[in-house]
Amino acid sequence: MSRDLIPLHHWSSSMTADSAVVHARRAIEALRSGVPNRDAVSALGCHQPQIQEQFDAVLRNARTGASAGLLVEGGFGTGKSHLFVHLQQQAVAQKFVCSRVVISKETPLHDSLSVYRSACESALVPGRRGAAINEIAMRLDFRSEAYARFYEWAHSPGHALDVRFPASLYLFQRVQSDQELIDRLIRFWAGEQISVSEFKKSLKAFGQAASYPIVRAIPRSLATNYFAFAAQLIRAAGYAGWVLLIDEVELIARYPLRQRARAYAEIGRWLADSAATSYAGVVPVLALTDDFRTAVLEQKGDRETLPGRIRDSVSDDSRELADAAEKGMRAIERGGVTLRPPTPDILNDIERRVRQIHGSAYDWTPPALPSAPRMLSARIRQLLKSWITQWDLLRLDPSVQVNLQVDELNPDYTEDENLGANGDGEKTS
Amino acid sequence: MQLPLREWLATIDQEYLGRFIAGGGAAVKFAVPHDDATRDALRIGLRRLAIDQGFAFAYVDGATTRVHMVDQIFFSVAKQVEWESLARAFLSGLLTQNGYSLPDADGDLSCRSIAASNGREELLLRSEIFRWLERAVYRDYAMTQEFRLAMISLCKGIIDPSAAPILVASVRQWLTGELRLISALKSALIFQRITRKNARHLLSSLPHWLRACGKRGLFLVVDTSRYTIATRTKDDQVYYSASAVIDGHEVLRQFVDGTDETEGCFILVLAANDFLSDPRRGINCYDALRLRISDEVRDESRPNPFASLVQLNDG
Repeated sequence: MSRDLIPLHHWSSSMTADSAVVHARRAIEALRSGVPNRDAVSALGCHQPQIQEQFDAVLRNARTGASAGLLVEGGFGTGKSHLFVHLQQQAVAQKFVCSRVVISKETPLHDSLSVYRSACESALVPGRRGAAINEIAMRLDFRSEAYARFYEWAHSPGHALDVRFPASLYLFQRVQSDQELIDRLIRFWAGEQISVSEFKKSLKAFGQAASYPIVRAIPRSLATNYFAFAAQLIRAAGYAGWVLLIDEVELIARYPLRQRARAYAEIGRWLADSAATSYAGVVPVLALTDDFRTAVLEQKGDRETLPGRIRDSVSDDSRELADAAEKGMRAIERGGVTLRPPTPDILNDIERRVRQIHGSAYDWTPPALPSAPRMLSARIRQLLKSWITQWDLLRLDPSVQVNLQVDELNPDYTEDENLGANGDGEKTS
Repeated sequence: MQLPLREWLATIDQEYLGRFIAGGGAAVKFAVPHDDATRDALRIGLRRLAIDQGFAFAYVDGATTRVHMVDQIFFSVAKQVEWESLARAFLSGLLTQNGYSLPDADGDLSCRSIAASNGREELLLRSEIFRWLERAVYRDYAMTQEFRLAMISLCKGIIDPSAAPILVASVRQWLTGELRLISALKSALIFQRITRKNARHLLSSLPHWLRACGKRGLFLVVDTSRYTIATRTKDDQVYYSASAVIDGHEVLRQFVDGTDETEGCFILVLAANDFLSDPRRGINCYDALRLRISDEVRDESRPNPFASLVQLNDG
């Protein structure tokens, strides 16, 4: 038996029969729709030892404060999102706070503040439930060494943090009886705005307005500060660090030109080796389709034409943006780690597991389904759907002859202006 | 390929509502009815199914509610929820679990009445009930904090009807999007309005609360058939720009991805007939949704009633 095969998951004997059925059905629903969930990933495991090894190394380094990230590439339907759910479980098990952000219209990669807010919203905190930043903040122990280091870090001029961040920490420690202000401060840490006047009023109450001279700032310009502050907050609260899984990065291909350039610039920052240009303290893992280089950088011509088009545009930051976009494209071209297609042994094992889950979910004995020859080159997503579709139909009518049709679904990389506007038609950035 | 409506409703009834959703599962499905008659029959059929099976049913019509905004969906659902009945049911359960006898079904659940009928001092009983609420609601982290605080306020409003009636009314207005001043909720420790940022978490808290109050969960139907109407109509029905449609598809994508964090909830998206064919406003205009619900692997001659996306005829 291949060493890549892992022991078959048994639904916990401590579960009631009913809850085991619900978990099994959750897994089947997730596999049926191609959206992996915790139950499906727990049951099927993850057969990517190379990626697992690299991720473990990334986590080990992260404990010492390093933020080097990882780029994961794979074709559509080859299991990237499944891998991400698995990595999230691994990170949380090792006491990391872990966020999984799906790039979408609401969370565009070029808008780092949106990415931050989404990361806070989606964060899983080991052993806690509820709003992540709230839970993390409540764990701060003002008497601990970790907190003292955090406080000193936030107040140190060397880290170039906007003054509102140390100010917020100062206030948080001192106004523990003012629930409304605590609520506002925690929401600020989660990416919301507090007005300059509100900050000043609260600081004045402690005679500290002059110590923290807060001025207006464009919210988006604070994004790197938010990430850096939150990463340190997480460590101060006793966690190993913050892992950020960014999925479906290929959506950036559809952005209008300038937003696409900014998205490339963000990729460059996320995958930078140098702490000076990266989001320090956050460990990023990005998932990208493996044909992005060919389809977008080459055939669509972004590599050749995008920087020039940006430099030619009338905008103060054109040169800087073009340079940063080029860095991002180079990071993509360097490549990352690629998902391995499953071996026939692994496929057989996966079929066996899914068959068992389907049987548990619907209280029947599904027949074994060796993959039809024409399906052997299919993506794992298509195979899973083919098995489940056959079992669904056979369970309803065992006499039916199932003849499957398979459509090729591929991501669309054509530009779409609507992805750059909100529902009122305004450009998002 | 189309499925007969009757067959699909039977699948939802037997395979989803009864054991899976009632047992704490969650699912999101998309249905494309063949015509308006099928759409109406579907809506009526689903409502009957949901209520017969003990679920709370909510229908959100994209013609009158801007369903591309999740907070508007939540407000519409909140207007269809009987908040006071739920709070009463929850309190009845809490009191019974702690050994207290209750007046008749629609009886007075005020602290005074419960204390009198159980031989207890009202003042001391009140402290105990608030402790139970703290344990049973405030520490139930399956619900977001603001939702928990709101439900506690509603319960307290039943325990002490004369203590803070304005606060209770304000909480209900907050839930339905009708509250003018957020400062009215300060004493409930709620400091922000419901917006697109927090509405999704409130919406996923609701099925959990419904289950705590004795319902089996939430059955939510969102009708998005207005998405494919490309020109403004002369009536006052909501018009969706192409960009708003994509916002709406993103909301639906989040529903699909959010089933892991939800329990006891079935969401059905009712789409227009041309949802599958309209290139600018249908399923093909937003990859993130298309790649999640497309029926890419199917039998040549039999539609799968379990598929994420089904086409229905009035059979």
